[in-house]
Amino acid sequence: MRTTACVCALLLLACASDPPARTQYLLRARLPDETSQIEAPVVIGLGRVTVAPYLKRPGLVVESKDHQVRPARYHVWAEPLEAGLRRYLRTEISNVLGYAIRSDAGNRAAWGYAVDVAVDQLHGTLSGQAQLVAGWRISRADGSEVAAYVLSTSEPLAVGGYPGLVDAEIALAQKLAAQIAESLQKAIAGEEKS
Amino acid sequence: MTETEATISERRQISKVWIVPIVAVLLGAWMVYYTYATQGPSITIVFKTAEGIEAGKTKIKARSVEVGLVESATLGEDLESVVVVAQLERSAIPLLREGTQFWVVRPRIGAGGVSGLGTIVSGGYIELAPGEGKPGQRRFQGLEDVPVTPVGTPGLQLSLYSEHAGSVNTGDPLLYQGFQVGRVESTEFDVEVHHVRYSVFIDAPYDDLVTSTTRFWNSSGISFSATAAGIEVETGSLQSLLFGGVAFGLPEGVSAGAAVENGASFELYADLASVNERPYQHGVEYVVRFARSVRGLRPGAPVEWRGIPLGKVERILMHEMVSARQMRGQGQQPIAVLLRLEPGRLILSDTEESVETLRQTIEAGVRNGIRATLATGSLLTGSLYVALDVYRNEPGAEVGEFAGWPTIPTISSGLEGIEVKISSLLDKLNALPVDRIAATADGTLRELRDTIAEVRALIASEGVQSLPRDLEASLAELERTLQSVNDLARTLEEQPSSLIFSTEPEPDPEPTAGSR
Repeated sequence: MRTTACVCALLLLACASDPPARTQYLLRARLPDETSQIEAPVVIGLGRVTVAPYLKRPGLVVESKDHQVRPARYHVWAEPLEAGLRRYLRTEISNVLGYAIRSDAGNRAAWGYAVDVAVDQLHGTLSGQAQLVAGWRISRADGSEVAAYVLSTSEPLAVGGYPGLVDAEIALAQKLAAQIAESLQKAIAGEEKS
Repeated sequence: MTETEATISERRQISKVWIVPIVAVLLGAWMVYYTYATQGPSITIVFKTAEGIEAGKTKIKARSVEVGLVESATLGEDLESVVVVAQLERSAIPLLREGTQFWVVRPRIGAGGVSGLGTIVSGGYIELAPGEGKPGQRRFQGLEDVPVTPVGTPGLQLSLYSEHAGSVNTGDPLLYQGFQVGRVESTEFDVEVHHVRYSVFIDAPYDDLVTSTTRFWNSSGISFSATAAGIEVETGSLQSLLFGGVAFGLPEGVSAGAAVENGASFELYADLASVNERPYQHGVEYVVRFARSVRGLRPGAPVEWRGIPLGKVERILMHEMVSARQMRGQGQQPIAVLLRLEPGRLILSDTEESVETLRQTIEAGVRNGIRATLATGSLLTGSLYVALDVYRNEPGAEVGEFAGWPTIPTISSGLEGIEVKISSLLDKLNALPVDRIAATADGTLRELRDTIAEVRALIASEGVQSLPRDLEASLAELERTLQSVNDLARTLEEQPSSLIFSTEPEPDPEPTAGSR
């Protein structure tokens, strides 16, 4: 009887050990500029924003060796990366264009132009780089394609550790938003000329 | 008286003076005998008038050769004819046969041209055209007009009958495809059949063109017809255009029939269109009586046997119906319609024999259920036609009689049933409380409109609009949960004891600061 009680006590002691703290990160955009409230010259909507399946895990991903990645267990996104990226891109693109773009996919037929984004890579490396590979497609209301682009870029981590990785990835997302906004302006201008 | 006394007696001697009269008498007797022996027969010709005939002067000629002389011309006993006695030469005896014709040749102007101009100077004469009958004829009926066809001309003589005289006259040409092949010899009104009879002659060898299915029509004048292709003008030859004429041929779709005998009779149609309207000569008429309105049934409407044209509607027997009503008293009487069924429309030949066959077939068929019905030809125009068919469930019947025509029993068609149903339906529609229904429907529609507006507002609400987005988020969350479960399962598989004994997880790899 005494022996059994000792075993249970040992087990309870083992279960009672403190797990490491889990840090959650938010892909937060800058606050919208006041200029985003002006009326848009043409209705632009942000359509589908998809990420590669390996990015659908909550943990931030670090490439340890070539072709080896490891999702972090204790450093995770506070929300699904797709949702965070979608909100981030909508806000940042609106900031760059100077007016708000829409994201109500249910009214896609009412948009003049739509942009769909696919993120293939967004992770850090042990050597201190954050990498982004993404593509986007601009289409008209009838679904016909206006233009398609691919962006592959990287950003060094200013500081080591996961906070630095998050900052670098946010910077990459900002680059992506800027490139998308620029391509939208070019595409719309080309359409108006023709 | 002494013996020496000479007896003086006068010697009887015929005076030579008598030789002269004796010779004269003998010569006269010989002359009488010679005259009697050489003179021809005396004949009698009866004319309606003696115009151009003068006793002792008017000669009788055959092919311009003088063969006799008119001896006298006196009024007949009936005072309506002239009896001409003529002395002919003996050589003319063979010409005096049954069928020999005599007519007065004098100046004439007619449709066939101008003739007898030579008699203006030489005076008229009587022409003799020898016949082909028995010899020995001595009394003849003279012709008032010049016969258009000489006796003995090879060909075919026919009789044409028409209800109206039209513009056909004696001497008018008989045309086949515009070519003259004969002529009209005479015209007269046949009081027995109340028709105008035309005697026509077709020269050989064109008489072979006439068969039992040949139709004759009046080709006089100009025929206008308006078709989809424009206005068609049809005329005969100039002669027929000016003076009239008769054409013949086969109707459209009718083949040549049997050869016809001399003297055969044909109907003379008013024009070619009438021929094509009634291309068949032989037919049988029946009466059908319908106890319903026949509005839409017009003369000329088809009569069909199971969809095959068999005849046409001739007319509605209004006059006969009125007569029958007077005889039977006032009462509801069916509408009597006269049909003409023509066997030629079927495979049968266009002959009286085929008509008889058709008549017998219908009589037998009526006993086995043949009935007539009114059928709708066109729903748009409402035109009707008469349909004949066999109705096996009908009791046997016999061909009846109406106003002298045989009758075919009728049955009511489905049309009447439809009319009754439509009428009943209209009555029910009239009985419907339309105002109340309309008011209710108006209220219902208003509620429906409000409901639709509410549904639209609901769909447009933020909550409903966010449903797809929420659903998508839920699915993503579910995917992540499944991923976690998958990770847990893999951990338990690799380290089953980890459920009880915690293992120190490997720390996350720390990325270092990078350099630009």
